Amino acid sequence: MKHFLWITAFLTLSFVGDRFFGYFLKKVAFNSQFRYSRLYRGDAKADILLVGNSRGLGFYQPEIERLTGLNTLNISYNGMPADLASVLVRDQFQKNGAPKTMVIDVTMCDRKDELFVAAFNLYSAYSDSLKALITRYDKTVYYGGLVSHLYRHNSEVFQRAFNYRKKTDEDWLLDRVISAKMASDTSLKSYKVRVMPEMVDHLKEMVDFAKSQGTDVKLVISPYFPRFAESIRDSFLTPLKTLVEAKTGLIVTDYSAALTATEAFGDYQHANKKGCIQFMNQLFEEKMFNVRETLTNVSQAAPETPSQPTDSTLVMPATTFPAPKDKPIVVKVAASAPTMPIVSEPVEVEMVSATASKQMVLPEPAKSKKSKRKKKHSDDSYGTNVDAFMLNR
Amino acid sequence: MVFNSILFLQFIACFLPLYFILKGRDRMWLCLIASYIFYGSWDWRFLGIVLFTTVLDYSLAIFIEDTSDVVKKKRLVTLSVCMNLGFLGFFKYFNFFIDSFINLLKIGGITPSWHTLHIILPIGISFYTFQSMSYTIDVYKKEIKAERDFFRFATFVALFPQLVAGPIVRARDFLPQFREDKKFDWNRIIEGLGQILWGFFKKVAIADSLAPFVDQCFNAPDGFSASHLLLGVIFYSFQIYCDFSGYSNIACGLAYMLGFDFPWNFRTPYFSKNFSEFWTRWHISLSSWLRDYLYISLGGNRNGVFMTYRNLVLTMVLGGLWHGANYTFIIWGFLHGFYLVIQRLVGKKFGALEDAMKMPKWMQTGLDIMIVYTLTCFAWIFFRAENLSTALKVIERIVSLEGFSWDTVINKFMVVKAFVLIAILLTAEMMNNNWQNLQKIALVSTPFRVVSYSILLWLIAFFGTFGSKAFIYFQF
Repeated sequence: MKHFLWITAFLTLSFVGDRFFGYFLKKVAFNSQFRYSRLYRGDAKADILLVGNSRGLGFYQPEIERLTGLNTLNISYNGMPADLASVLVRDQFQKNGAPKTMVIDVTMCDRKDELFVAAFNLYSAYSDSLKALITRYDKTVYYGGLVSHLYRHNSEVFQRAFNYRKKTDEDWLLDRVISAKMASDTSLKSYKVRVMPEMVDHLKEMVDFAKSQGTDVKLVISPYFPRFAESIRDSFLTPLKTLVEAKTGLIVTDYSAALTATEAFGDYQHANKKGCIQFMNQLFEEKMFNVRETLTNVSQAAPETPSQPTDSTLVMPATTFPAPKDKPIVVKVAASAPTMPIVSEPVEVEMVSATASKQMVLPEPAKSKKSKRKKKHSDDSYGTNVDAFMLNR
Repeated sequence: MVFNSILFLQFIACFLPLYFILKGRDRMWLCLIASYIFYGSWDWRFLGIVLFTTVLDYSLAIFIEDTSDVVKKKRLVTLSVCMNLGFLGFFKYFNFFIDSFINLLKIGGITPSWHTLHIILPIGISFYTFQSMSYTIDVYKKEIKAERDFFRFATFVALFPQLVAGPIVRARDFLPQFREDKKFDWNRIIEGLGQILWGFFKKVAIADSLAPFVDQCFNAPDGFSASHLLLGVIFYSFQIYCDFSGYSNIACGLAYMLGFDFPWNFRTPYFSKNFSEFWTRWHISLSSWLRDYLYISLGGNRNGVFMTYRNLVLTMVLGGLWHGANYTFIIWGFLHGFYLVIQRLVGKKFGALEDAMKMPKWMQTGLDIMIVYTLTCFAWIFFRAENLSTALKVIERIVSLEGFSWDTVINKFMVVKAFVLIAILLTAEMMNNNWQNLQKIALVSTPFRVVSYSILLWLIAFFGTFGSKAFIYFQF
């Protein structure tokens, strides 16, 4: 009898404690400011959706929001495979509505990672498609999460949710400069990367779905360290671009060689904060963020601004623009842009000189509820995935 | 089949009830068959080697005991040692020695056309070979009687909890336990369960969580800063400790449940104040085996200071080589031998210096522990590195202090998790080490056990890395 009581007490306490702490952790995760918590909470409405792996983290939200005045959501994560990204994108559309633009870094089609997918088990309670994906890879992970709620929160994803419980993750970015030793290393022999056609299929699903919801999809290849980009161009970048373009019918804009300065990189695969800001400005210049929407949005958000003309030129401060710092950046808005499906009178945005005829000063981007969140410091700790350890493939 | 796998859970769930239902020889048969299934699950061909070792030492021990001719006895025990070491040498060291010999010839300008063989190392061969070999030596020394029951002896060699990674149990301690009829004992089940949970926590939560960080550091040290690599080395010291001692805890806990008493293999080694103490706390079954069968056989400390030092270094170098055929293991062993010699040379003077400086006792103890831990970590670099150049690269980068700051540490989430886990481990170890009263409470108090076991389960669920990752010592 004594032993029976012992066992009963042990099992009861183990179960009750698991549920108690599991409930607490669930609350922490759900109420966090982490991107996926906001996504599944329905608190992540965005005009621009940014998707990628660790390289996709380089879609530096504060800069995009500063440039465009639009709400952004970056659902990139270190080593994220395209199948998981596809599920997250669908959930984002379902919970928070369709964004106007979705920018995808297609280099996420280089891996399939069941362990990584399992790390998202803590959000499986909010998404049937996520649950289906996790069980497709490993049923024990999902059912293990049902047996033990503590186990469900056993992942780096939860650690990040815990870390960002009261602060924004929008400036999660690599903030260091590549070491001189790495920068000067000419061998780069140990790195092998290949295209996974299966993941390109998932990318196509994601693109087709977004297009069906009226979202404008832009496909890009983010910058690599120049010499590194060349070392994988024939084996990875060119075949990837060709395959993705063939499958999706969209053009993949290759920015792999867009940054050249060593100081712009944190390592071979990742631009650092400085490089990312420069890259975002380039994307903005090349209309990857649908700036026409920006102007509409900005004019709505700032009533003191003159109503937006159909053919106008906007002057905006260029604190971090690649253009000379003391000169204002001028954005000319002109008619006709057939690729913009939502606005009734399509307009085109282009960079022109400050001496253009009609000018108006672009106000500071209106701060959304989201952008008012506390931004403490960037987090440069790239996760457990090998993606961050470029030599370790 | 590793302990931290679903397959093993299924295996043990079938085995335990049957074990306690059966009695006498039926139970022994069950143990033997289950142990062979456990071992054969890696590769059934390896079973042949276990069987050969078993038959060889069983037969030779009986011949040794039955013969009255001293010379013949000596020949037979020599045959046993040679056969066992020959087997071990072939599977473990053949390619290493051939490679080394070829390299030596190449230095002399000769390029031989020999090739190394594709030899798969049978798992756990170093452990059961040493265990079986020590049995014949003990019979030769008349410390134990030869076992006449083949199946009992076969079960002694192959019993699954200790078969693949120890502890290396001695026949004089373990064989008599087979003669007793084990009864189902709740207290043993409960205490064994505690050992198993603690072992799983160390293996699954700590060792396997630290492994990716450590692997990255040692796979490509060039890509990381000095601070990152230093953390990698520190984490490896805990990874290998938790991996191996975790296995030992699980093995001892399982055996305890079955009614067997295994010797402790680890006793909080990183709290050692000198290297002699370290080796009475780290892999105790191997270090005591090396002491009894090698160091003492070499003459121990009976032939003067120089010979003592030589014997120490030789024993540790061979201990290093026991782990594997690589120069890194030899250097690891040599470093520990060197530490032991240096300790004998300057240990007392250093203690006197500490006393002269009127350092408080706790500070002296802390300093001694830190020195031993730091030097142990230095030796671990060689132990972990794939080759000498990697080890030297890691050392070079750490010593260079290039990018030595918290900012250059990558994977901070993993680092924070590692610190939390190490803090839990050290707290428990300190309690175990210093608060004997608390340990007594743990042993007798049911509520304490219920709570502590539940906490362990929660910690395993929340921090565990469940990839059925093999134990490091399986490769040895």
